[in-house]
Amino acid sequence: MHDSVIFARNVTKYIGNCLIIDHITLKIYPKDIYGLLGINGAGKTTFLRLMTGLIAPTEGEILIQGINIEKNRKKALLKMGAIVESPVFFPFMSGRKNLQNLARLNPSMSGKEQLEKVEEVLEIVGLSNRGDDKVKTYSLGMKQRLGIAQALLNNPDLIILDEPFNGLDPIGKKELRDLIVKLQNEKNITFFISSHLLDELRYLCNKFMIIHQGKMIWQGDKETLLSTTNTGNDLEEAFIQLIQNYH
Amino acid sequence: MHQIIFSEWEKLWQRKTPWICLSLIPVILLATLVFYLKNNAHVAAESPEYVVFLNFPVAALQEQLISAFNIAAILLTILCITEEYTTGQLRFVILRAVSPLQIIMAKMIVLFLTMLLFMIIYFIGSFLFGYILLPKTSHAAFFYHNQPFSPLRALFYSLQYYGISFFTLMAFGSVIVFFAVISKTATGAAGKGLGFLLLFIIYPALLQLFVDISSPLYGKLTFLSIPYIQYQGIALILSETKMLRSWIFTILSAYITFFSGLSFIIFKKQDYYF
Repeated sequence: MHDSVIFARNVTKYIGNCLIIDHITLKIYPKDIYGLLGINGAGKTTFLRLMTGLIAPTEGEILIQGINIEKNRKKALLKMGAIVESPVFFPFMSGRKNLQNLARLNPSMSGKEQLEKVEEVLEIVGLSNRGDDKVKTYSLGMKQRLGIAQALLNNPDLIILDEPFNGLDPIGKKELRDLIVKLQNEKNITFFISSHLLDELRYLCNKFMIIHQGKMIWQGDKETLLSTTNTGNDLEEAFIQLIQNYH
Repeated sequence: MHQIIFSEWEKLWQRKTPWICLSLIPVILLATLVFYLKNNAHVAAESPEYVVFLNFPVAALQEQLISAFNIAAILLTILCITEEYTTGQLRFVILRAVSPLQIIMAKMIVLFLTMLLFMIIYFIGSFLFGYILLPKTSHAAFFYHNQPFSPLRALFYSLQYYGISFFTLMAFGSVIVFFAVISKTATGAAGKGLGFLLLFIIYPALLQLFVDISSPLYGKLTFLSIPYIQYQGIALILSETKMLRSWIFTILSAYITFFSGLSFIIFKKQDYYF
């Protein structure tokens, strides 16, 4: 159980009387790039909110590297970075200042280490030369990269991204994809990424989970998904087939 | 914890609003001073209403505590809490290895420190403006005191007055933090804050409908209102008889404890859907 980076057991979430997440169990192992697929309103963002401790499960438990996020939230988040929904920064502050401000919240780093880390992550995401510009002048792609930069501030083992490709142009998508692969290869970071843009995830993820109406309807590796649905190499077709079969 | 406080302080002071509030202090002081200069023409020089440089800091605060300071507290609290929550700016902070309790405590400390800074600058500014533009007498009269004060005593009294005023602002701020935490929009939080302020400004008049104005109970019940404490209570606490001193301090402490506690619990327990 503890060899997994994320272990979600029987996770259920009601909002009011509405069942949003229905008894989902999931394991993600180190160095996976795990894709969370689902149509709009399937419960992807709610599931990621649960994984990041933004909301508490009604039932079940979530362990991040063996630590229960509900009971020991601070420790569980220590080695995790995340962007849930869109990356919202303080627009009146520069990208660098935003990161420096967030870096202060890392208890294990001295002031000097925090500043060095900010420069390091700006370099990784290719924003060093725009670091002093106010965030309100950034494009969506730059904000996404700045979002990844803030997720890297605490040397995470796991990064959770919610619809990171939404609104990006083809070049922005490619840059983000390359960055994720680079971080996985060079820093051994595990990724858990939600999206409904299947093409993007197809080239990126080695494993998938598909949720529909709050239920997990499929999980496994990419090859199995493509072969069991008998759709050749077409992830989109496989996804549609699974959703239709569910009905 | 000090790093979280520093981070909150930095965020607040990177905004324009606190700087605008700060830059308005001389304008407010000047407007108040002009008002008192005109008022001086109609009152006796021995009256506490006659304002000289020694009692101007207190008079200027009496005039602006309920309006300018309370409104500044509402504005800054909404910026710090509700706006960050509703725009999603708070998300990156919540997603770090800090507890929600630490975040809300840091925000409250920063808000209180900012209000304290405003008060200190207002105090110094009022002394300077008063010294330059008001009559320089060797003594000044204060409310609920039969004898006029020497400069040293006036300074000591003024410091006490500002200290208690800050305590009332902490109590008011605690209520506004609670409104900011429970509100889903900045407009909602502002409405609740202003509604609370206005309701308790008219509360003593409403109370007269139900309680005999000459009864001791009326005296006590009126001071359930923070604006009324700011209007009358501080001078009463510092009066020769120290009237209702423990009652008013108990009320203010109860506001701080109850509303801060409630805000901590809600902020800690709630789901973050922003």
